[in-house]
Amino acid sequence: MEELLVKALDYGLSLGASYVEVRWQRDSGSAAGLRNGQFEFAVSYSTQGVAVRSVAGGGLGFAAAPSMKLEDVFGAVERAVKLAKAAGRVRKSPVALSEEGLAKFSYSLPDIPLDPVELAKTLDEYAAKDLTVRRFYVNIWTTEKRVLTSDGADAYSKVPRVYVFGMFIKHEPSLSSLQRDVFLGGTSADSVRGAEKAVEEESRKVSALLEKARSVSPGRYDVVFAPEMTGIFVHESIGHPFELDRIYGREGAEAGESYLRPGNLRVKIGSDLVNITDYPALPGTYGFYLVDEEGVVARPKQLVRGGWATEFITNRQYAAVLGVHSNAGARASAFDREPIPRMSNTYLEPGDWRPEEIVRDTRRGIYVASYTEWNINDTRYSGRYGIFEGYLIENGELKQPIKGFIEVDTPELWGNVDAVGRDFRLFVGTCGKGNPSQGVPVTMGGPTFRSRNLRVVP
Amino acid sequence: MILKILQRHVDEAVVVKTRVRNYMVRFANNEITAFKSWDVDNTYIYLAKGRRTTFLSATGTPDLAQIEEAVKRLASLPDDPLYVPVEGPRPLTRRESPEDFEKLPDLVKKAVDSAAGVERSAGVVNLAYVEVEYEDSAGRGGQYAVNRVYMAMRSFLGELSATAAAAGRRVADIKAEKLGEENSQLLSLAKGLPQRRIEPTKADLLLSPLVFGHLVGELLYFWTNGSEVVASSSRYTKEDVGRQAASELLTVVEKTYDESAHGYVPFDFEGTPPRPVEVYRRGVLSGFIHTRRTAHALGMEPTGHALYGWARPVPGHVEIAPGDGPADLEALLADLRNGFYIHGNWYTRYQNVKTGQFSTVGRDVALEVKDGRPAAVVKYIRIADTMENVVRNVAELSKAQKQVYWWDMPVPANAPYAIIRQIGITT
Repeated sequence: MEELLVKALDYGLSLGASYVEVRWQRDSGSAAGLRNGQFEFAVSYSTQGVAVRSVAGGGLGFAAAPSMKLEDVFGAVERAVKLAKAAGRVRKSPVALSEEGLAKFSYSLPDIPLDPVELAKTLDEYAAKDLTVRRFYVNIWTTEKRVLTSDGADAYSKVPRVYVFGMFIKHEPSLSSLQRDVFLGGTSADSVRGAEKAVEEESRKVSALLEKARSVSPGRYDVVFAPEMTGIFVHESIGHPFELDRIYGREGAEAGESYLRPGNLRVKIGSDLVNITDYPALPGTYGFYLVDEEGVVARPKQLVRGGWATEFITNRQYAAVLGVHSNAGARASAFDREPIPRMSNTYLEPGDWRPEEIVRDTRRGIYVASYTEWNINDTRYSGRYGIFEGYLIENGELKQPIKGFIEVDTPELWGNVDAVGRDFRLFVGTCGKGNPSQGVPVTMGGPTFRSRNLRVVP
Repeated sequence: MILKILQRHVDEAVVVKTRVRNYMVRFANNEITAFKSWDVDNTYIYLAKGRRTTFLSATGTPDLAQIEEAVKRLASLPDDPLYVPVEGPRPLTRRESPEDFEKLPDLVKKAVDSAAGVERSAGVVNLAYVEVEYEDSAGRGGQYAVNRVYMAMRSFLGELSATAAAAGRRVADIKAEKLGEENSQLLSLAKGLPQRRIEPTKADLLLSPLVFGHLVGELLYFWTNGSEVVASSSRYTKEDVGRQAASELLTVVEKTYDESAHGYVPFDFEGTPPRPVEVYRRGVLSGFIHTRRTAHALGMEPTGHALYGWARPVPGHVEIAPGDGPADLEALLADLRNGFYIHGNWYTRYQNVKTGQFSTVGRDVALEVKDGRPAAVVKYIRIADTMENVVRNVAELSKAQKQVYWWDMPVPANAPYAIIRQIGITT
């Protein structure tokens, strides 16, 4: 394979490209679905091919071939260079890439010796049986990549992953209906150890909360958020808007732009207690990697420090726009997808409060453990998060379960933070972005934290 | 050849080979950011032994080891409760020539240049040439090759934005200039209006074809889908068919069968030609989309919607029948009288798929309308209600439709504008 990829690089340069990147990628695994305890499907799959990205004539071209044959790979090289030149002809400013010290190494993680059908069946045994709907989807697969660039990168990786999705609905016409979705996974078998307990606990909450939770009175509350909430907040309101391609408009017609604007990036977005990081190299995590798709070595991205926006998720193209080095944010979900700036494991850094102390310190407020429906506008400024499990806090104690929504603007959410816990937990997600769409594995989380005086509606 | 090998190991097999040649131009800030070409070449295999089933897919052709592993795994699987024998009408054969991808950058230039008065535009144009070959152990076979094309462009003017989209089957179906003109028109309506936010309330809404097509497409995925009905996660049961479930103004047909539809296919992964599925006929729930497996489980007829595999049916293209309302936006605003016009939406999420409690975020210019005229731009608006209220409260549909598709739409749609009464909105 090495010979083929090197030939492809050389061929691209011979066609006039100033930069060529060749990536072989294979994703292979098996998945299964279980519907209300019954077998739904079992599938095994393998996709592989070669992606070629080139800079030529001032433009950027991408082509992919579902093949390892020399003529097919050379065909992709020719298309990537031709399309780059065609794009360059109608660009005002030529595409440039940052200069980097690039990776030359390989790494492999051990296989995950689990069977998706058996795992789904095991988890279903632990799910509450009074639910109207219980569905499981399990996917176990391995991603192998070899990335070579014309400026010196050569990196091989083999990373297995396991992903579990569980959906639980209790529908009781006299009481209405409640749904809980659970996501679990990682890059080792250990990452789903304890999944039975999570399924058991979360599925049992559905009926209990359907019966007991009452609509919250609308108003402003001090809200204590558990780590699952921390995760969705950092992902949606910090991670995405800190992607430089969004900030510079490249996703404007699809995933959207950002409340951060070119020329005004380093703004105060949170209180002094808010420190948010994205770090791919956390062992065992679902978002794990050591080298990105452009051959840049992963390192922590210090997105927010002391409430200030300090660093942005970038690839080499947008690093060059800012005149900085890439922080290894370029990811592609498959061989036929272009690498673009993406999150990996994004989290709020822990503080020094015990989580229970934050609750005890709250006189009138709400504790939110987990969410249902959520969304955010495309500049990532105005968010809405449905409460799945939440409780009123009165004089430092958890009281009545409640349901409702947190409707909050990003600067208010992070600006009003006055307590950050010392606990820490990450949650699994699949992050969507790009056209064609690319779902990439990520985690998100951090500690319990409190944000004062937020708007809560029924 | 593969089929013959498979038949030695299993009782039934289906082999579907797909090859898709994709070309995509993406642009932002009025210039092309990337010109992409990617080929997909996959083989999908369905295997059954007794009532046990499994699926297999691979780039190119699966190797023998992969096939043997899948056959071995079959022995350890439980029976498939939705198992049905492989059979049905013979798949059609249809071939059309690939469209010319070199024209795509011209569409970008036309669309950008026609967006008068805007600061910048971003968007995409995508051309796919889809070739499929079908073969099964029941002796059936067929093949097709079709083109699909869509374009979407979002134009910006300060904090305001507008999105226009078009979809079809030929590059000539995309009138790129119209996209720019539509964006220009909406932004000129919104320019200079005061901007404000709203408190949660119920209001009358005018939804663009992009928004109404999006919401009805969601409904086909989650409610009028045989797989979701079997799982009890749909709002509807088989017994609901024939009941009034939506406004009498609403007729929705799944349109994958129609050669003019972006999502057209001659046959699905079961070799079944898609047929028109009336989902609502004048508001009466009339049918679900099915694979042969889900149809059999519910005692209904297959509809040819195993579009991306055998596991579950998916919609390919939705048609919302037009009404008798005005065709142009300003006359529709007059008909709305007082309420809000929502032009674009994204990020639709469910609190509960069964009850259809959802919210979706307004994305482009949203207008507050007073006395039939735009009075303000509303920032960060959301629709937050149930899908049931959306389909039950339709009060007017425009007589003109648009064929639209963009990145966040669940399924391409031919959709009119819709006025919907008393729907929850929030910020």
